[in-house]
Order: sequence, then structure tokens, then C-alpha cells
Amino acid sequence: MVFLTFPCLIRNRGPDRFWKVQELLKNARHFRGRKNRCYSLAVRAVRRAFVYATKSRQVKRRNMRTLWISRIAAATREYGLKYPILIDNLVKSSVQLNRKVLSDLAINEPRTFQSLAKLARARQQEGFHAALGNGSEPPGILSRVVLLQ
Amino acid sequence: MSSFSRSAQQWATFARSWFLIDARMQPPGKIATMCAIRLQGKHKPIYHALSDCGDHVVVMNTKHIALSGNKWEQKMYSSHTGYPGGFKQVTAAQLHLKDPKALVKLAVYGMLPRNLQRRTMMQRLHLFAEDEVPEDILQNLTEELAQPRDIPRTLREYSQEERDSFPKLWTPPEDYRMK
Amino acid sequence: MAAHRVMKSALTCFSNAQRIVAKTGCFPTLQNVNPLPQLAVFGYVPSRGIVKVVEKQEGKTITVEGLTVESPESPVPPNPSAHCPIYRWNLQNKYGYTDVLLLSQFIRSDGGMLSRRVTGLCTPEHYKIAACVRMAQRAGLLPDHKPTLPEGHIPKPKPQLNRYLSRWSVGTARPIYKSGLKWCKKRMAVGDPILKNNIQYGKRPIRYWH
Repeated sequence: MVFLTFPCLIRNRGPDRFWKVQELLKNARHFRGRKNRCYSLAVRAVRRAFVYATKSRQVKRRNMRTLWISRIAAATREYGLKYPILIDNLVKSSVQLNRKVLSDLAINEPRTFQSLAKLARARQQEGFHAALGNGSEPPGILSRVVLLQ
Repeated sequence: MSSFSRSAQQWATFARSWFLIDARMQPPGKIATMCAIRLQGKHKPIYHALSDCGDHVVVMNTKHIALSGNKWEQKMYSSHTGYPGGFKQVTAAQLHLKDPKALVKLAVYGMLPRNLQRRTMMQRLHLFAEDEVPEDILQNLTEELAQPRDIPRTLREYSQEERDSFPKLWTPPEDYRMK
Repeated sequence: MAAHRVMKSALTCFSNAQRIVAKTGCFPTLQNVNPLPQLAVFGYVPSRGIVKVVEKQEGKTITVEGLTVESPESPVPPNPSAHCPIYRWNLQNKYGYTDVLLLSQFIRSDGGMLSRRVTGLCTPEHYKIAACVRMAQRAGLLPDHKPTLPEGHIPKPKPQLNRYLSRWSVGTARPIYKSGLKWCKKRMAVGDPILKNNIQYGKRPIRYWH
């Protein structure tokens, strides 16, 4: 028999049940009360914990996104815009920064964020002009660079 | 960055600023949204729910708030003393006459998140019924926030020139007796 | 007794009827003095009329004079053919309770609405202006247009509560003790739906029930 790791070699000696219990209790050692040493209590708690862990992998992403959004919203208000207006106009100007990067910019590079806010404001004004019939809406920021050259 | 200590930057980032809001002729709900954002720190890009980065808010003239509709008479504030038959209901007008700060306070309290930080945040809210704010608080103030509702002018506040420049929409018949 | 010869319309009859009522009252003389330039003597005149009644007492005689007041020239309205003043100035759906300069032209000095026969307002606009005037009165925007109290009467000091967009009068509004369940709340009226066609500069529709 070939054992690739030392724990597998150890585990192969002795009764199966003991090692099965130890494998499970390993995940329950930091639990509170008798759950961290009694198998029959631990098994339920560990299963529950794994379900929570699985679910919260999605929840964490969601929470992080809400945090970024509230941070961007806070930074945007300083420049007299609102969050939906900023995001909408950045998308229209084909600025493909996600919310994580935007919130990082808002914290660490306020000047960069300010220029983005100015860009969004300018794009919003162009949209208004287009809606009033004065001029047409440019399709994106890159297309405008081509036009200028 | 390594040439100097960053503790100064840390202190500057997390320093609490003080905002002043004048609640004269303003609806308490709109005042409360402004307060709740500042108290939670949601107006800063470094916001995090656990980092306790809220600011202080001073609201003055809470006695002179305005309610829309007939809410002074219609809106009820309910409470229970905990004893049998201890359910109390007072109208907004009664509550306001008893305690001119209560309406704004309850509105802000209801808009804060229901967690353990709530009471701490409420402690950073300073309400004053009139526009007399103590000197030590006045010295802390950093910014005055604009009022959310623009107060309409009464007819008395229009000057005679403005009244005269407004066109007469209709001309009365020649012998109409003025009342 | 200088009666007016011009019997043009119902308006004239209306004002004459008033005059007769005035005569049969306690006023012994009623004179009409033609154009009087000094409008400034009376200060700001809240309602727009051209005959002002002035009482003078000399001994036992009370002289009541109807002074004709020159109305200042106004610019030409954009739609002069319309009968209703609101339509004449293209103001339909463009005024609210805060436009006191507009509203004060349609009310008497005691705050009541002027008759529609006098002002020439069409019925819907008359009701809209009446609703606006009511809301402006309750918001305290027309402080000088109040009924005169009897002589020597000092009103009780009342707590001053600021309000705006009040649909019901202050005395009639009752407290809502049971606001109801979440899906069938009893709402509080704010503003007046008669103004629901007013021009909006925002996406969010106005809620008339809070």
C-alpha cells in the first residue's frame, strides 16, 4: 500500500470510527460548549456550519458590493451627483471600472475620482442637450477620441 | 511615505466633524434623513458599519419645524408604559408642545439602523429648541448644511417693487367696489 | 347720490346691488369722486378694485365716498382673446400655493375668494385657485388677508405650529388613532389632488396621501 502523506499512513492504523470522529471534530474544535468534543453534538453543528459557510460565500459578495456602493454614493455626493447618475453616465462613456475599483479610487485617489465625477457630469449634460434636440449623443468616450483626431 | 509617521493622517481621517442644521420651517423627516446619514458616517468614502466613523450633528430651531398636511392633528405618537392599560397616544401637536425636540429626535431614531450603535449615534445628535446654541458647541462646528425645503415667502416679505412688477392678471369692471 | 350710468353687464348690476345695500344701511350720503391719482395714500391695496369706499365723519354726518382708483398699466398678455385670466396669461397648471402674488389678486382683503363673475375665472381654475388660497392661508403665507375682529377683541394666544399643504382646515382634522394594518393603512392627506395636473419637474409623482 502506498501512502502519499503521513496523516494517511497514521490513519490507516487503528479503527475507522475513531478517525472518522477525529476528522469531524477537527472542524468543531473552536465551537463553544460540548459541541467541540462530543461527536453527536458536533456532527450537527458542523453540518450546520458548512451550510452557513456555503451560503455566506454568496452573501459576502453581496455585502461587499453594497459596501462599495454606499462608499461610492458617499463620495459622489461630495461632487454634487447621485450614485445612479454617476454609474449610468460612466457606463455610457464606456468607462469600465467596477464598483470595487471605483470605491478604492474614492478613498485613495480622490482626484481621480473627481475627474471621473466630472466626466459623468459632462456626459449627463450632453445627454440633456441631446434630449432637448441640440446635438447628438456620442456613443462612447473612445469614439469621441477618434472624432477629435 | 515611510519618511514620516502616518498617525497624523489617521487622526485627520477619523476626526469627527460637527454639522449644523437649521430646522426652521423644515419637515422633520427630511431633517432626519440628513442627520441619519451624517450620524452613521455614510457621507464619507471610508464608510464601514463597524468603523464608527459617524459625525456630530447639531439641529437648532426644532421648535419651529413644519409638518405637511394636517399631521399636527392627525399623526399619533404611541407608547406603552408596560403596565396594564398603559397604552398612551398623543398627537404630534401635543407632543411638540410638551417637548419641542421630541419629533425630530423620534424621526432620527427611527431612521438609524437597529443595532447596538444606535444609542451611541443618538448621543452624537444635539438638538436645540431655539437658535441659542452653547458656546462650546458653536466652536466645534465645521459646516452648516443647506435646508432641504425652500421656505416660501409670505406676501408681507415681498417688496412693493416686486408686487408692482407682477402683472395684473385681470382688470376689474370700472365701478367695482373694492373690498 | 351719483349712480353709475354704465349698465353694461351683470357685473354692474352686482356692484349696484351692493351700493343699494350700503345706502339702506347707516350711510346717509354716497358720493363718487372721479379719478384720484393718490393711490399711495392708502398704502398697499390687497385687492384689485377701482372704486374704493372711504368713510369720513364730520359731526353727525358720515360721508361715504367712492373714490375711483387708477389701475396701473399692465403688459399685454400672451393670449389676450381668452376670457379666463389664467388662460389669458397661459398660466394653467403652472401655479401653486406659494405664488401669493398671483393668489392675492383673486381674494378680498378679508381672505375670501372674489366672485367668479367679477374676476372672469373659468370654473375649474376658480376652484384650483380657491384650493391654493386655502392652503396658502393655512401655511400663513397671506398674513394680512384675515377677517377683521370685532372692536376691542383680543384673540387668545395660540401655539404657533408651522404647516404647509394642509388640505383640511385646522379645526376639522381629527387624530387617526388606529392607523390600520400595513396593507390597508389610513393615510394622511397632503396637498390637494385638484392640482394634480400641475407641471412637474421630476420623475417621482406627487403623493397626496402620506
